Amino acid sequence: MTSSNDYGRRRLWGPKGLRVILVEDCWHIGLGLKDLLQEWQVDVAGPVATTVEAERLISEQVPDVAFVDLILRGGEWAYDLIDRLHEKAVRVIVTTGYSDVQVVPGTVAAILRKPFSEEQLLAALNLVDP
Amino acid sequence: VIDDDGLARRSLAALLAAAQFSVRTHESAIAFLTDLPEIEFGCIVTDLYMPSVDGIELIGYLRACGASTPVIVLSGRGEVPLAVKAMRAGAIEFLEKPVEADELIAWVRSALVYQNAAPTYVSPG
Repeated sequence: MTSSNDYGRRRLWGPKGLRVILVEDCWHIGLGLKDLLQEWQVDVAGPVATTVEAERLISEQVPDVAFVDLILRGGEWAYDLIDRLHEKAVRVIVTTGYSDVQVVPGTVAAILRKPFSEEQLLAALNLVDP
Repeated sequence: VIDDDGLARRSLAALLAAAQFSVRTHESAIAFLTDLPEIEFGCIVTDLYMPSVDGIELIGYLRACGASTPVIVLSGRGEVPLAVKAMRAGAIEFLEKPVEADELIAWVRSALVYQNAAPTYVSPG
């Protein structure tokens, strides 16, 4: 059985073929993430820096995984976006520079503390998508 | 840009390329040193902690072979003794990760001005 976002259609190993959106207002981190994920043959949308832009991407195609920075452009908080992603069965990986992050239990699959490494990124992907 | 972490390397390259710098990336100090004879002008932005040859050792190798290329060292661990060690080895600046984009760009610009006024790579032969 496949989920609403057709998760069962893809890959034999690694993150190849995973559909990911990047919600990140620090653009060079977003571009670096995109470049690395695309090298792993992940299907990447974004980066976008606001929840409005993120909602637009989600309306076009529901991803498997979303990387979401907690505080977005203009100081906008991403908590409502995280709730909506969770409702759509998207696994959320929060990326943040803060160490004391409070999230609603069960809505977030992993938290990556910035700056995080390639190895930590892969570990988080394996955690949410073993 | 020299960093063994693929994400840091790509993020730094994106940042510097957007600031109109021509960027080359290397995943180790050894890989960079292999390419060094082809590099006539520039500034090095290197991670401190790398396997085999770290950022401070890299500066030592460069100076030993007569290269005056300016080096900015980045580290995730903002330890004062390491910053002092990097500066003593000849780094022009030591910045903590995550780096502030404007700060790094400003330092790279300064480094390139510095390099304009100084001799570049000199072959040890």
